[in-house]
Amino acid sequence: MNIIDLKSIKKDYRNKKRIITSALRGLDLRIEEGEFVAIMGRSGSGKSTLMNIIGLLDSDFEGEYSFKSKNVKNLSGNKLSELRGKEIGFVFQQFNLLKKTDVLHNVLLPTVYRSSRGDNKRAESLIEKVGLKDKIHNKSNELSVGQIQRVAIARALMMDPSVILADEPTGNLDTKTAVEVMDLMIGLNKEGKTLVIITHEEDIAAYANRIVQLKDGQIEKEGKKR
Amino acid sequence: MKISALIGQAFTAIFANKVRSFLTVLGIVIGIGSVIALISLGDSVSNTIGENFSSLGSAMITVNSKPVKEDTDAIDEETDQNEDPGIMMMGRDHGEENGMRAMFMGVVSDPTLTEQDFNDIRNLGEDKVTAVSPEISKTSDVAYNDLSKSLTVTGVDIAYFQIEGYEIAEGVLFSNEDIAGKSKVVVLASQSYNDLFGSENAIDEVITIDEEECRVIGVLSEKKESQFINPNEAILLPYSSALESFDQEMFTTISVEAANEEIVSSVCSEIETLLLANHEIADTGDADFTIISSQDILDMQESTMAILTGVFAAIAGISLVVGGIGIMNIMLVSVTERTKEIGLRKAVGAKTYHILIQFLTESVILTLVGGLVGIGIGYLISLIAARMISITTVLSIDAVVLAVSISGAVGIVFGLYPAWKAARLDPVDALRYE
Repeated sequence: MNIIDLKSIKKDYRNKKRIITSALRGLDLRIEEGEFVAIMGRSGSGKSTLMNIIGLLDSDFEGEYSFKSKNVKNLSGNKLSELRGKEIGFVFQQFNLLKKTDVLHNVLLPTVYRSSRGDNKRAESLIEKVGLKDKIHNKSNELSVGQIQRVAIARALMMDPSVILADEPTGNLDTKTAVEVMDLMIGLNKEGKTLVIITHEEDIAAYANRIVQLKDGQIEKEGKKR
Repeated sequence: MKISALIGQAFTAIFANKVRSFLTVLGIVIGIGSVIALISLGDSVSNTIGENFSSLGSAMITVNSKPVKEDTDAIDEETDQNEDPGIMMMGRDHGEENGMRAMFMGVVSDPTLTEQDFNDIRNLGEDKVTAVSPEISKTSDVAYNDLSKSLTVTGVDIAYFQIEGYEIAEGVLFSNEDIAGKSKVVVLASQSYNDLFGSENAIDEVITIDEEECRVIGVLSEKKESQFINPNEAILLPYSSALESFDQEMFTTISVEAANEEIVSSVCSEIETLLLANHEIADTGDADFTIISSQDILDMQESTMAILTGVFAAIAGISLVVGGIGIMNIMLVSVTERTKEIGLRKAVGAKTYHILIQFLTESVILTLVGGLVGIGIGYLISLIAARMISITTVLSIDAVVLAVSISGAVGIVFGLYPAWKAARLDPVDALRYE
């Protein structure tokens, strides 16, 4: 079953001088539930634009987008926020942890907007899962970059989303830490999470089951791991 | 939405920049501090004045001398040439407020009231006036044995003791015979007695007032101090003796106790008509006296307090607006600094109103903390000020509620624009912000 279904997606940007730049030019992409997809491409190929659309952050595009068979193209900003909070977990290259806030409360951030019973227990178990049990009350500025990215992964999992969307998750990490983080990601995929990674690093993309290569806003080629 | 988490995060954001937050709320602290100090002091002064006048009685009428305009220069000249304290000349400012000032400050004006005025007022009858007393004061050298002090000596009628609510502690009050005979007898109020005699017997002892011998015939019980006059410092003698000793023919003041509150204003009118006729003055504007009832003083005090309140409220208001602009400024800086965080919050599910509420919560917490600190500081200021002018401080719950409401409102009003600006940020732009 397709969890993400993009049809004929076009996205143009207009600068102050009204010059139009096309970021995506009629892109079609389907991602099945439980897949691990790496989206690759050079700078300016449309990777980030595609990630924003897949992640329901941007609804200002042409074409059709069905998420879990539901058309999300015309949803309001607040409805998109709600769906995003429930279904998509983000892992950013810049980590984006709350400053001067401890690990536990960073992981609990999504629950501020959608709380349920047992949030704390779930956050604790996720922190344990990413190997930071002994750092649970450490502030974000007391952690290494690798640990920070693990906190970001735990936060992405907090609402038990269907899709984990990672934008250059290892971009700021050394090789050893990058491998650790990717191992963690593979584990999540094996548990059934759909994983979409945006990367320009081939060795990171190699972890995925399917690689989608973008060029000039279109899919240049795609291939599955044998 | 988890309110507790929101408040916790707001505090984290505020404490992340302690010095900045402190400086930001300073305007609110000053504004609320002024509001509280103003209300508290205003209430305290009103209470104290109210108590003082209620002890004085609401049916009191005071007729004060007012120097005529033509005499002013002559009086000034005379006073400039003569350093002797003598009769206190405090009535040179002209205008209606002279008499009120005299009443407030416990000082006397240039005497213009005659014994006939006094008798005529007394003759209005007991159904209109229950007690009437003239007053003539002078700062004199009062001596007993080797002890000499400069004290205010006042000549009064027997009715004065009733009007002022004095009670005799030792000895007797002077009599009508003493007045008729211009007897050199004095009654000492408690502090004057203590100053001159300590705890020794004073009755039948002889003191000198400006080197004239007077016999002490009575000592008064201690009376509660008024805000303006210390009644326990009085040295009282028959008005007739005082006129003779002070080489005066007229009185500075005539105190009148009306039969009841309802007729105060009609009695005031009657006294005015009577005195204008006695002084052969046709136009009220030229009158050489003023008539004030205790209600007039209370009204004047209230209007003075209203003006003061208005002035302070304006200052406090300006301070609050300046403080509010400071809050808005810092919140706008905060929104810019935390653009990426706003993007993150939107990415993890925050809706527009979540972000709006979050930033509003921060600005309201800032102003509320400023408000609470302001309440403490304002109360402290009023406590110190009240101690300096010897009154009891009052801080009403209403004032605290008002201060908290104002600070909360400032937080909402001035935090709304930055919060709205944060809430409408596009998540993609916010996440991309560097």
